[in-house]
Amino acid sequence: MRERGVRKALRDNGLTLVFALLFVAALAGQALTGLALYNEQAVADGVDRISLLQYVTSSDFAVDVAENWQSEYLQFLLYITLTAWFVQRGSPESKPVEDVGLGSDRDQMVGRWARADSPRWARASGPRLWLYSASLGAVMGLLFLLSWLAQSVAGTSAYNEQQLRQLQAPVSWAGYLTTPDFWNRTLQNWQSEFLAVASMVALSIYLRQRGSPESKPVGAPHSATSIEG
Amino acid sequence: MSRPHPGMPQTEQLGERKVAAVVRAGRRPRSAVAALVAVTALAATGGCGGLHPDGSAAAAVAGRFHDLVRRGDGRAACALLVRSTVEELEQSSGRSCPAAVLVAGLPRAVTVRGNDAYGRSARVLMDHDVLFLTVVGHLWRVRAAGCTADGQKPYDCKVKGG
Repeated sequence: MRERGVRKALRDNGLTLVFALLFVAALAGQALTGLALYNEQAVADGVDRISLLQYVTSSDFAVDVAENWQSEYLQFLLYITLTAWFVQRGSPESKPVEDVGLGSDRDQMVGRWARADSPRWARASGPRLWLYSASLGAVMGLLFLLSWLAQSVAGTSAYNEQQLRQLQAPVSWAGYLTTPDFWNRTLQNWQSEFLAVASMVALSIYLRQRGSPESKPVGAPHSATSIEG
Repeated sequence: MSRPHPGMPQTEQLGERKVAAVVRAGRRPRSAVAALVAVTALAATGGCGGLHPDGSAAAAVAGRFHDLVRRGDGRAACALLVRSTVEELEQSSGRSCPAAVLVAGLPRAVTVRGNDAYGRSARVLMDHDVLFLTVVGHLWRVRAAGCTADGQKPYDCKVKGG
């Protein structure tokens, strides 16, 4: 009975577990390759190499991680909010073309249309309902801003360490926000996130992946919008 | 209300479709609280770990270096230099480091005015000199001294590593 419970838990949470493991593996790989790169540069600059522990607690590692996290959360924020107002006919990533907007209270199951098992704040009215109705975008936005802040703080430190190694003057945090280093890190991540979403939205109109909820059913017409396999 | 589209699978009741859509949208970030903690920890680690190493210790080494040069103790002064700087000093002057450092033309500096330290590098501003230091093992050591600013370019230093 206990074994069945564990197997069931693994099966029911498999998607999260697989991606969590992939994340850990990729982060470990990033740490090792980042350390090698850092030490290559250290030798070239005539300074000491550092250990893996020193590297993963450095601003160099932190900025490389944070710049990716902020762009992921920005992608989520924009995807969540813009899909309320922008549609793509034929894409399973889009709502039906005629449903642009915030939806009726009935569609959203709020107020008198709330179900018995609807979240408590969905059955409320006024500010609590308004807040809950925007909570997903708000939290994504907060995570984006926090990670972007983390990128800017760690980036200032990493940039200034490099400046000092090259016998150049350091800059302030505000000064760092105007440097090509900050904006290059930011924009190189943003472009890939936006490309990924645009690709997914467009390609899913015409291509299929049997069994995936991210795809339309294999036999669904190209014009079918907002259905999943 | 969404209407079934020709070719779509048999539709379920409206309520269940909407619940499925909401579950699908919420599938992505499983735990916002966990993510918030992770991001805040990342900011703290990157900020605290890398942003504020002990600049005062670097300033103390810079002050001691100039003190030793002023007293004519070249051997002890060279012990505070990184190896690459010692090698460069000896190669460019043709003398041993203890002799070369005393005739390198370093300005007389006494008082530390300020310091900037990031990661394993530091800059110390003295009354008549600017020095650059790096961490060797667990100790700050001088990489360059007798440095003057040159606009956006690297400082021009009388003593520096290769």
